[in-house]
Amino acid sequence: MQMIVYAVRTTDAWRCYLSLDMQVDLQWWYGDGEGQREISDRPHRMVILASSIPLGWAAVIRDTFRPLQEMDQWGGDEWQGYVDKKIASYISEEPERNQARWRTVTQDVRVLDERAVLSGWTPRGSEEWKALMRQAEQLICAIEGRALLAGEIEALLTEAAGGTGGWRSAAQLGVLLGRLRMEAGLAQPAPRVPPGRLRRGRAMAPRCRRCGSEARSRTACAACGSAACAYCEACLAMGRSRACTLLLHGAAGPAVRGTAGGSPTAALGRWGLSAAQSAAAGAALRFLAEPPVGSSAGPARFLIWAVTGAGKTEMIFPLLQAVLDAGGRVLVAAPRRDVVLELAPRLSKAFPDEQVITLYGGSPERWKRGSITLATTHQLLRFREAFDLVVIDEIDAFPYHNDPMLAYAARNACKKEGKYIYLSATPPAPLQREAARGRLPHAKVPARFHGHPLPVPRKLKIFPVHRCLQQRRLPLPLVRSLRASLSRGAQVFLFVSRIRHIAPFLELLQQSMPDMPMEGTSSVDPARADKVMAFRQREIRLLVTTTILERGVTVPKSDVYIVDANSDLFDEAALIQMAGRAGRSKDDPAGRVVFAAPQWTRSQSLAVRQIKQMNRIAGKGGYLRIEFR
Amino acid sequence: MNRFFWKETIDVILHSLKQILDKAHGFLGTAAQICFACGKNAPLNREFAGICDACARAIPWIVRPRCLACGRAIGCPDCSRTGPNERAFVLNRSAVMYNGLMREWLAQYKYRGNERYAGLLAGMLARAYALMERELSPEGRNRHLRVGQMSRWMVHAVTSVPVSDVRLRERGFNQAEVMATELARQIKVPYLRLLQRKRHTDKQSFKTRMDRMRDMEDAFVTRPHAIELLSRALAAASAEKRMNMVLDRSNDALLPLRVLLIDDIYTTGSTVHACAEALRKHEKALGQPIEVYCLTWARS
Repeated sequence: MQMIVYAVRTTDAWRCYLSLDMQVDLQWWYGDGEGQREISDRPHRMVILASSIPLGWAAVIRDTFRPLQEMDQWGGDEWQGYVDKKIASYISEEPERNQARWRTVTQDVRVLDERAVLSGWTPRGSEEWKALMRQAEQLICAIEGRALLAGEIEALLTEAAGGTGGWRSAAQLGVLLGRLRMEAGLAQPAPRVPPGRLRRGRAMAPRCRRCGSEARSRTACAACGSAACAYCEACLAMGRSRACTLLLHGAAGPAVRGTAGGSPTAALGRWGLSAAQSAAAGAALRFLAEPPVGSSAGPARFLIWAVTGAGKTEMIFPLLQAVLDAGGRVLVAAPRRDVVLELAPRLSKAFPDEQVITLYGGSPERWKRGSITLATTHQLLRFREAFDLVVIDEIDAFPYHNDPMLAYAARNACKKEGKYIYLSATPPAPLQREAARGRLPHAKVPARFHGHPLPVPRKLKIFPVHRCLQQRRLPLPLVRSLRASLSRGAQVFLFVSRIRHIAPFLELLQQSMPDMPMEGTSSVDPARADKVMAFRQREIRLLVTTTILERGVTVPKSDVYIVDANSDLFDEAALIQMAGRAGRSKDDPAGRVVFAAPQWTRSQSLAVRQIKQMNRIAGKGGYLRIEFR
Repeated sequence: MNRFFWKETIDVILHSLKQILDKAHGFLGTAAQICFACGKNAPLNREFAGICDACARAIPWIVRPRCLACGRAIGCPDCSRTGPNERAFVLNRSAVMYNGLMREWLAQYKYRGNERYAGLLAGMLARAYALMERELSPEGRNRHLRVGQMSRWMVHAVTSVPVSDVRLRERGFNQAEVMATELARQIKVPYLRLLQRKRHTDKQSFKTRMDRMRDMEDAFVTRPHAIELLSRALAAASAEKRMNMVLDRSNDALLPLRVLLIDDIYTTGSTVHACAEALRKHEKALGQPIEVYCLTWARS
């Protein structure tokens, strides 16, 4: 879209604004009614710098505006020169045939004295102004802590207020009140540096303000008139963020601190946590009660490193409680939609008095507000500096891993003085390093909630799977071991490294154990949910699958077999997660885990080492019921 | 045991070799190629830039239309319906059938605004135009025209169905116009902006056939300079015709001005009909008949 940008001389300084509705601005600066500008005097002068230029350029003029002493003496020519200099580099990026047009279009600086203002302005009555004020308040509340595109604002208002009528005027008033901020969807890069001796002037791409990605696609845009208007391809699914789309950001209040009201033990009592859980939750509570660190480093972080089956979800309840008691807003982000849907009822049950909002792609609660927000990571793109506490579950899981867009979104959703808590059974290596060097405060939960040690994987030397498939024969030791597991009544997870191995391997298994109900499933299987359900209900006794089921699935009394455990596709974290499926229930805490492979790799030994280490720490800390040998 | 040992050793060696080769391949081979339509890392198609072979194969081309009026690939009750069934255009041809995949592509382009699809859709339209040209040329499917035998069927101008100003500002582009300008460039025929939308109609996708017909009446008018553009195109076409007459000798003196009208989807034909009607209002002023041929990207 196109924008008006103007400068205004108030009693103390020159200021620069963008405008969606100039009538609102004129009334704000020149009107006499209630609730107008905070400075009592009318401005001395107003200069319209440009009235129909792409929003991206207008935003640059505003953002780089620095009041100067001599501006008071400037006439139209000086102001025009000022504007020309600011947007010259953007006009030069346009195709040649457009440049002349843009040069004429931008020659419309107008210096307005009071008389000129009064002739172009039809004042609203005080009732009308009050109505606009109410509308602005509503809008401010609705988008507090969010950064939304114009289209999203319209969708939100249609749902929340039943209509969008005149929201642009209300938004403009919100901006003048200092509660909203208008930005372009993309942040323009600094103007091109002339080629120097050491570094060549490289054209930088604009960056998406919403997802942080570089926007390299440029197309002609009918909305702003530019022939090279950039747009972000990375977050297209959430509505298109362009160099000329309006991104409206509602400022949220300052962050609250999680009160450590009284002793942490009292706060923890209500939740019935195990000793290991309480110790870690207590450490996290102390972290929440700390004063905020300098905002230059970003919000403070805390890692809860809890073994698989430790009961991470229960552990975050007291933390959420502490922030909610202080009047804060909390966010729990999970990697996948099914995890969010599983967590939602547990949170609602734990906090019956709070409103829990569940967000995922296509969620009906998309525009609702609540004190607890539970969301998949993509949904975080719609928030900015909204939460006092952000809990990120399974920080190592898809899709945070190697996705800078989601990391950016998670970073932005938290208030500057807010706090982060990461949860993971297998933190990524950089976090582990930071924790080891003492740069990242953390707490380990080395024992499962039932107080039994983690099952330590056993080695089983067998041929690689592709060889078994070639020879159409299963290795005898594997079959013997599987039979033993099944006859002790356990459910068996059998992980393979590749989807294409599932069907033929299942066939071989079926041949050697004809009367055992077994199935195979993978990410491309539409009946996955049904099969997992049948497996849980023991209708299926053996499930051949890939890493898709490595986390989040709890099946009582289960054993885990990983064939081709030497595969590159199984890193240390994946092996630990898969091993973590075994022995999760109280009734069968000692499930079996078998790494079946022709070779013993570094990933396998690291995984076993980490499991043993956690058991050792748990034993020393006295968290184990049965003494660990 | 010994045998196992050797096999295992060989396996290990082969495995490491394979790893080294994979790394080297990643290093030397072409950069990662990701199909923008399905997001998979797969070899890209040569004809259509940016999509993979699997996606290209999945395109439901209409090679031989069953209905010669509206270009539908299946039997067409609309065109054989009795009663008032006038068409202001000569015929319509579409590149593809509008199936789930095509719906997804168009939605990605039109509603999501992923403009990477622009090139793909224009390319598909160009292929459909080639088919149309072959079908309508007097020699029919005989492609071996000798040089100088210029009786090839062709259009004299390309135009497109307009969208309203509101929609244009909201979307930032007019998908039909983008496709049309690209096609015009490829077939070396002038693209003319002839039409505009008189009022902002609601989205077509929510309406019944009768509603659409009624709604479209008078929705389009020609732009102010349309008649000048048309007469200029006519003059250029006649000049070319006179030049070719020497060689050609097919002596039809009356030259109908053939305009190719582009749109993204043909559903009931009411949109293109209304546009063609608006264009043909200028026949009198032009002093020549105007034949409107429609080429749409998808036939639903």
